[in-house]
Parts: sequence; structure tokens; C-alpha cells
Amino acid sequence: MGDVLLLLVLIPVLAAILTLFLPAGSKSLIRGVALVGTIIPTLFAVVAYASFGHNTTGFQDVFSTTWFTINNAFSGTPLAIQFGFAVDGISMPLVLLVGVVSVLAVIRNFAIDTRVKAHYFWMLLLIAGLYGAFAAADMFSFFFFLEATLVATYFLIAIWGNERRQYAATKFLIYRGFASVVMLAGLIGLAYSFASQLQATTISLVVPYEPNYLTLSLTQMASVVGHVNLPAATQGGLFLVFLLAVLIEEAFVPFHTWLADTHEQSDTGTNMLIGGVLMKIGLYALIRFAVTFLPQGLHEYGTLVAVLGVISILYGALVALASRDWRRLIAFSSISHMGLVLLAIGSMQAIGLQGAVFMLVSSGLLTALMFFTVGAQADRTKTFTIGELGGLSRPLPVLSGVMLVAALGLVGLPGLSGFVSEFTLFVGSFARFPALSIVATIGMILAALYLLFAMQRTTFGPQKPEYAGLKDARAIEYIPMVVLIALVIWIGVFPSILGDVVHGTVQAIAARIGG
Amino acid sequence: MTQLAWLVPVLPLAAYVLLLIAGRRISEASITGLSVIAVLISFIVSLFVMGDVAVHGQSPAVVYNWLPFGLHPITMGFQVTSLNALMLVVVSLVSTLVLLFSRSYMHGDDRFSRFYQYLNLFVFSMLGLVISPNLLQFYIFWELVGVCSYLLVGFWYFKPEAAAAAKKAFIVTRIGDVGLFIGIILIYLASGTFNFQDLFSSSTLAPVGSWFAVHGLAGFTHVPVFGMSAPGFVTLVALLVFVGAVGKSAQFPLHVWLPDAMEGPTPVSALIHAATMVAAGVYLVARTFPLFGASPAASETVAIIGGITALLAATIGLTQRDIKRVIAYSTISQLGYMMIGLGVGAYVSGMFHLMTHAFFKALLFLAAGSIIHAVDTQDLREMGGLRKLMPITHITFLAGALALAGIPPFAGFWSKDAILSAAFSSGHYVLWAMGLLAAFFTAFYIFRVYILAFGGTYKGKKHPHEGGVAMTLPLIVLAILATLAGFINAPFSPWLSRFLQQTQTIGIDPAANWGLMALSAVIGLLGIWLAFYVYGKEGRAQRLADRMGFLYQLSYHKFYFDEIYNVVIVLPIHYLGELLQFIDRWIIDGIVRLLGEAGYASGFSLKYSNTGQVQTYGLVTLLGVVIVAAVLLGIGGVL
Repeated sequence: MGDVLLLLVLIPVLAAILTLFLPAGSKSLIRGVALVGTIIPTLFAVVAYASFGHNTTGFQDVFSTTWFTINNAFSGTPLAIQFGFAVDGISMPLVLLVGVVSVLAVIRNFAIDTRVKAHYFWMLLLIAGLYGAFAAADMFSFFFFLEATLVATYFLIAIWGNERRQYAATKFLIYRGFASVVMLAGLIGLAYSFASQLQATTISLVVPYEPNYLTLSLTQMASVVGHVNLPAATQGGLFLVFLLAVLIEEAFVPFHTWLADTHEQSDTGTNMLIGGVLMKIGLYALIRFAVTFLPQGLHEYGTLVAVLGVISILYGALVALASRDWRRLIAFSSISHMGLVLLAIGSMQAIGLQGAVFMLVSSGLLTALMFFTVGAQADRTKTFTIGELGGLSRPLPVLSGVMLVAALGLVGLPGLSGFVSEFTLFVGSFARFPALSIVATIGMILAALYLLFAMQRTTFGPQKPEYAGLKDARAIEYIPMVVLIALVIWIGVFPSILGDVVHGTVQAIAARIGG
Repeated sequence: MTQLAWLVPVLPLAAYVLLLIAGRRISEASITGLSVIAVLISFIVSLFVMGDVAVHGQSPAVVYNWLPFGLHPITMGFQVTSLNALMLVVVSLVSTLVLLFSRSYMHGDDRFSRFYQYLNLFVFSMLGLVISPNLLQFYIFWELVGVCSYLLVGFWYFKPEAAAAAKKAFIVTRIGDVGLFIGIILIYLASGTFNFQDLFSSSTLAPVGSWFAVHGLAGFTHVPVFGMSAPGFVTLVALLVFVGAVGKSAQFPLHVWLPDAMEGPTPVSALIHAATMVAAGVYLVARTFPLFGASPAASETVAIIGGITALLAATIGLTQRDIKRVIAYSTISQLGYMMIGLGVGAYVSGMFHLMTHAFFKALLFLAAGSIIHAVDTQDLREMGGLRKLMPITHITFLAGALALAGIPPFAGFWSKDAILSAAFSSGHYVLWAMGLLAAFFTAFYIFRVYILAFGGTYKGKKHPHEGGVAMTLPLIVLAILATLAGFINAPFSPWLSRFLQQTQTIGIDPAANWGLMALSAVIGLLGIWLAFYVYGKEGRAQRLADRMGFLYQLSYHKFYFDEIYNVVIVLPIHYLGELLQFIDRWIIDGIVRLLGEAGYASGFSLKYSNTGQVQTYGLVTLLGVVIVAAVLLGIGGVL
């Protein structure tokens, strides 16, 4: 099954290359290629998810091949740089999330009519990068794909964005570029300190390992992680490096101002990919690298992580309350929800981590749905400004209804995916930080406040004459709405569809880090 | 039969799904028929379930795995206890009648089918709440009834008042819900389970120790009780659970949402905001009664909040001019009585009053709905003279009013007096006195409504007449129940008391005190007399209001709760949001932009996106990054 993961990345790339050879005028053909190039990987992702073994806790579907080798300063033997892919209970759901959101974003952006060829080229590269970042089982591969998303997203914003797109794109590039550099420092530090510690241990390894001990392969590192005890100071230092990278990458307060600009200036499909998937990579990386390999760092700075999370929860929610633009509101709402994930990670509990993964998936689906419906209404009303809308339930009953479902999902209504995520992660966080968690629950009230307040001003109220003749959802718009709502309800009502996959892995991590 | 109890909520759910699929294509009559029959069958099944429980006793929970969760998966399922069975019957019965009533009330609304969808969804959620075997499932349905309430209060979404009221209802109850949410999590962390059965198994009212008998199930190495003593922790948890009940049951100080919720269609007010959902808070306290039994401080709090609410709301009810608002304040007040009952330990009396109140309050609301339907206004000053014009509505409303006023032998008399007796006999004399005073006000305000609506001559311009049989039949059935339901637990035939306590005694159930009962009956009659005195002659009411001056204003303006909350809570939050927004824009992002400007000035910028050859640039950038990464790795020794 290992090849499946490779195909997830390869097919969108091939499709992107294929678009380059198509005439720019044949827009339908390009759209078709893009659609096929995203649907096939999604089907593979579904197959991988369905065949995912629930009883093993480590990596599955491992694929790895040496790409090139370089000399390294650590030892005489050359270091093999690999393309390595594998999934475990944490990355598998996120890989499938990429699959779901990517197809829907491609469909949504059929509406884009300018420079279609370039648009889908970058979008397909972005999608490949997203798959690659989540499916990577090798630090180099991870970083490579992370950079691919950075570049692709930059062009998507800079070319197809709104009036202030240049500004927003540059801001995006600077922030995330800087985050990447910090992340890279963390990854290199982790690889070297891991290797030197491994060399220092005299145990006879039960697993085959690279002779020079230096590896970037997560599967190899995972196989010996039980034998490697990095010094506490190293763990702490590296943890802070990763934490800084993630704070910028995930737009946590105070490194958050780029996200609202990004969302405000991007087109709807790109926003679905950014808000739905791209904004989950940072926290995923925190779990994947920092939590897994630097447990003592988490021990030491867990409280800091949780406090930063709570700050973002409350700050994001309060600013969302004052936001006048739907896209900015969603951006701040997303910051607030990602703060919950940070709080859960800080808790070091298996249940907290499970809730964190649930929240990443749930927030991804709901944010994508929210951006989709907000974009769909703006296609009609020509505005995202909350104060200019009103009474849309009458001309747009279906879109308004779906928007309400998305809003209630973000509010954490049971029966939708948001609740089970919030509940699970709060059980984890209360176990370690009861007082802090109580403060964080204020965010639950504020979420209801800003979302229902905005809904009241958007869909409720008397119909405005200028919106009287608007046409409700078209057939093609039903696809993203139905798919996303179905998944959100499915996870909300039968959470074991997600829980069975996540559970084993988080239990294993928590057992090792002593949560 | 208890094994089939799952059918009770599932039937309305099926009706909801059917209407969701086919609702637009079938007639109003079919929509009503489908819904009424589904819920009627639910009611019949509930009756059988209740009979089964009465004969064979309670049955253990039936559960299925729901979510892997730490060492023990979370389960979901259903459970039938005496308490659940009683609630199933009450909820499904009132629901059936309201669904029938809505046929005429909502006739012609262009979202008729949607209305029935929401109502069915609500009935499903409420019944699901009732038979939940664990706290988490309870909470899930608890939120679902809340969202149904939101949807139904805001059903006429184009009315700005309705939109505002729906949001207010959701957010205010959400504050309570968060308390409950925290309480449930703390209970889980301390005990390792959500299941009522496991939480309260050893002995229902045993001392605190039994709470921790189950501790350790979850494998947590420490008990996160904030370093509190076990009794302190139990009190904290009980109070958190009660916060949830305060929100849902519109108790002081979170009562402000319920009167506004009257913006919803009247059948909704009858079903959700009188008979069922708002009683869920009371039901929650009853369901977790051992928790309150283990904490005297928490129980006292319940009783005191109940007492304050009962009196406060009754006082406000005296002066309101909107017929639905009077009845809404009456609901808040009556829920306060139930809380007094549970707080002083009178478990059976509290539930008894919940049941009788469901009947007579649904009746009063539906009768009010019948009036509003006929006269097209909710303002009491534009009614009058309906006694002759709407005889069935008149006689049924009168039955409800007498039940509410606590006049024997109507249902409310028996249940309210059971609560007041329990308060008295348990030594809560102040609460008893507050309850008695509230009873006096109650009798006054409901007969004020009765006189203004039915007495004198009609002041409006329409030609009021009774609605169809779909309207009058539910009124008649409820009127019979409001008249007779009290005998299910009258002092001489305490069937309900035996039913609810068939396995063990729960709380206190003091013997009837005939002296107290006579006293409160007299108080009720006095209130009625005063109403007739004041409103019997033109001008007396106005003079009384003038003489009361400040007190009248206080009552009429609902003690200014909304205004105070607005100034103390709502506005500060919004201002804080605006302030942070400002700081965000001009200070945090301002610094960022300043740095950016500095960057541009020194020529160090990243603005290379203006050319046409974007793809080329992209590839170059990508390649560049890869090379940088590779080189960094190669010379990684620098780290």
C-alpha cells in the first residue's frame, strides 16, 4: 500500500505539468484535468483510510526511496536524502482532509475565469504540497512539501486575490517564509541531536539502522525513539524553536496579523485550501516533531503552550466579534479554534491529543464550508461586509441554511464534528490545567456570540430590496455543501469513524511521553 | 416493553427525515397527519413503557460503543427508569397535542413544512434527552433542544425582534451550558465515567464516599479537584451542573431570555418554552439528584435560587401587557417552585409539579395562541369580551388559570402545595413565605389576564371566533388534564410517589399538611378576588398603578435586568472586541507594516510578483529553497 501515498503527491504534480501543455484557451479541458488530478488522489486517500490498520500504533503504508545523497559534517558517510512517505493515526485523517477539501476547492474555483491555466497549475502544486507535508515520513520530504505550499499559495494570492493582493501575498510569504526557516533550524537540530545521542547509547539496536546514525527518516527515528533520551536542555531548546515556528506558521497571537489579510484577499477556493488544510500543517508539525521526539520539552513548556493557546482563543474570539468582514471573522475564529488545539497539546494527555486531531479535522471541514458559503453569498451580493448584508434567508434559503450549519458547527453544536472535538480536547486539558481550561471555556460563549451575531445580521432580518432577485445555490454548488455537511454530521454522530484511526497512535504517544 | 423505548424518540426523528425529504411536496394535512401519528405512537409506546416500569421495575441501560476514549470507550444508548418513563409520557403527550394545534395556527405559512420539521426534531431531541443513560449523551441532546429552540424562536426570521430573541436565547443558555459542560468533565475526571448508573450505583443518597468509589476507572493517576476536599469538590460539581439548569430553566439570574423567546410562534412557546425544554433544567437536577443529596450547600443554593426566581418572576408578571409575556414570567416563576422543591429535597413533589405544570401551562399558552390567532394581537388592552365569542377557549383557559392559581381540586393545587409543605416541614420558612407570596401574585396576575381577555367587551376590530377542531381538541384534552392530573399524587392516593420511589426512597416526601393546604388555597382565592376587585371597575387598576409608583415601574420594566446586563456585560464585551480590533489593526499590525516599510526603504524586499512569468518565478523559487535546504543540511554541523 506504500505506493498509494506516493501517488497522492505524484498525480497532482503530473496533472499540473499536463496543464502546462494545454492551450490556455481550453478552459474546460484544464478544469477537467485539474478535477481528475485531484479526484484520483482523493479516492486513493479514501482507500488508504479505509484500509488503515486500527491495531497498530506506528507508521503504516511506508514508502521510501533515496533521492540523492550529500556529504554531512556529522560523519564521513554520505547522508541519503529520501522521499519518504508513511501515515499513522495522526496524519491519516489529515491526508484524507486534504483529499476532501482539495476536490471541493477545485470545483469551487471553476468559477474563476482569468488565467485558468496558471491558476490550476498552482492549485495542483499546492494540493501536492499539502498531501506531501502530511504524508511525509522524512524530515526533508516534509520541509520540501511545506515550501511547495508556501510558493504555490503565494502565487494564488498574488494573482487571483482582491485589491490588496500584492500586500497580502508578500505578507504571507514573509511570515511563512520566516516560519519555515525557524522550522528548518528545528528539524536540523533535531536530526543532529538525535543522531549524536543515538551514537552515544551503547545499546544493541534491535532494528536495522543507518550505519552513520544520522537520519532524517521519521520511520527510522520512530523505531528507535524508545532508546534515545535527549538531554533535557536540548529538548527544551529545540522545543522552543519548533514552538516559535508553529506560532508564526499558525498565526497565533501576536504573529497573527497576516492571516486575516491573507483570507481577506484570497479567492474562495484558495481560502478553502488555506483555512481548511494549510493552516493545520503547523500544529501537525508540532505534534509530529516536538511532541513525539521532545517530550521533556513539552513537560517543561507545556504550561507556556497552554497559556499561548488560551490567549489566542480569547483574543481571536474577541476580535472576531468586532470584525466587519466575514473573511476576517472566519480568520479570527480559526485562530481561536487553533488556540484550543494548542491548549490540548499542552495538556500532554492522550485524550487531549485525540481531541487536538479531531479539532484539526473538524475545523478544516467547517472552515472550508464556511468560506465556501460566505464566498457563494458574496458571488451574489458582491460583498463580504457583514453590515451590508441582511435578510438573506428569504432569497437564499439553502445557502443561508448551510451557512447556519457551518456556524453552529464552529460554535460546537453536538451532532456536528465541532462538539466532539471540543469536548474531547477539554477533557484532556482539564486534567492538567483546570483553571486555565475554565478561562478557555469562555471562548465557547464568545464563539456563540460572534457567530450568531454575524448570522443575525446576514441571514435574519427583513429582506433588503437590492437582494430580492438573487438566485439560490446552483447544482454544482450543492457538491461541496453536501459533502462537507455529510462529513461534519458523520463525525459528529459516529465519531469512531475518526476515533478508531486516531486512538491507537495518541495512546502510544501519550504512553511514551508520560501524559 | 422497555426494550422498545428507543422507538419513542426515533419515531419523531423518522418524521423529521421524511419531512426533510418530501416536506415541500405534500399538503399541510399530510404533514400534520404524519407528525401527529408518529408522535402519538411515541406517546402510546411511552404509556406501555411506563406501565412496564410500574409492573416490572426499572431496566438497566442498553448501550453501544460510541468513541474510543482513553482506556474505556464512551457509550451511547438508552435507559428507562421511573423518572424517565414519567417524562416520556408527559413530553410525548404534550408534543402530540401541540403538533395537532399547530395545524390551524400555522395554516398558510409558506414554511409550514419547515415548522413541522423543526418541531419533530425538537421532540426527538427532547425525548432523546429524557432517556439518555449518561451525562454526555444527556448534554448532546440538551444542546440539540437548545438549537431547536433557537431555530423555532427565530422561525419568523424576517422579524428583527425574533432574530434578536433567538440569538439571545441561545447565548444566555449557552452560558449555563458551559457550566454544565465543565461540571460533566470534572465528574468524568474524578470518576472515570459518564454513566448515571455507574455514578450513582452503590447507593443513591449515600455519603460523599460513594462518589469516589468509582474513582480510578479511568486510570488517572491523580484526582484533579483543585486540591479540594471531596465534599468541596462534590459541591463545586453540583453547582456547575446547576448552572446548566439555571440557564435552561430560565432561573434567576439567567432568566432574561425566556420572555424574549415569546417572539416565536405560540405553539413553540407552549411546547418548548413552557412544558418541556425549560423543564429540562429541573429534570437535570432530578436526574443527578444524588449529587445534590451529597451536598447540602448545593441543595440550599438550588432552593434559594428557586425561591428568588419564583417570587421575582411572579412580581414581574403582575404588570406585563403582552399576554404571552405574562404567561412566560409565570413559567419562570413556576420553574422556580420546582427548584424549591428539589432544593429542599422534595424530589417527588418537584417532579409532580413539573408534570402538572406541563399540562396547565401548555394549556394556557395554547389558549393564548387561540386568542392571538383570533384577535391578531398579543396586547391585553386590545382584547376583552372573548368569553362569549370564544367559549371553548374561555372555559379551558379558566381551567388552566385555576390550576395555576392553586385552587383545589385543580392539578396545580396539589403539586404546588406539596412543594410548599415540603419547604415548611424541612424548616425553610422564608422560602415557604416567599412561595406563598408568589402564589398570591400568581393568582392575581393570571386572573388579571383572564379578566382583561375574557371579561368586559371586545375592544379590537376583528371578529374573533374559535379555530377549528385541531385547535379546540388539544385545549379540551389539556383542560381535562389540568383539572384532574393532580389526583395522580393527591395526599390520599400518592400513586406517583410510589411509582417514582419503587426501588428506594428518594429525598423527603412529607405527609400532607392540611392546614398549610387550606392556607394556600385561601391565599389563591384572595389573589383572584383582588384581581376581580381591581379590574372589576374602570380606572381602579390605573389608580393602583399610580399609587405604587416606583414599585410599579420596577415590575413593569422587569427590574431593569436587560438594561443592567447590557451595560455591565454586553457592551463591555463589544467594546473590548472593538478595542482589541483597534490594537490589532493599528498597533500589532502597525508595527509589522512599519517594519515592512523600513524593509522596502532599504531595498530589501520581496516584491517580485509583478511580472507575467509567474510560473517561472515559482519554479525558480522552489528550486532555490530546495538548494538552500540541502546546503544547510550539508553544513549542518554549524548547529
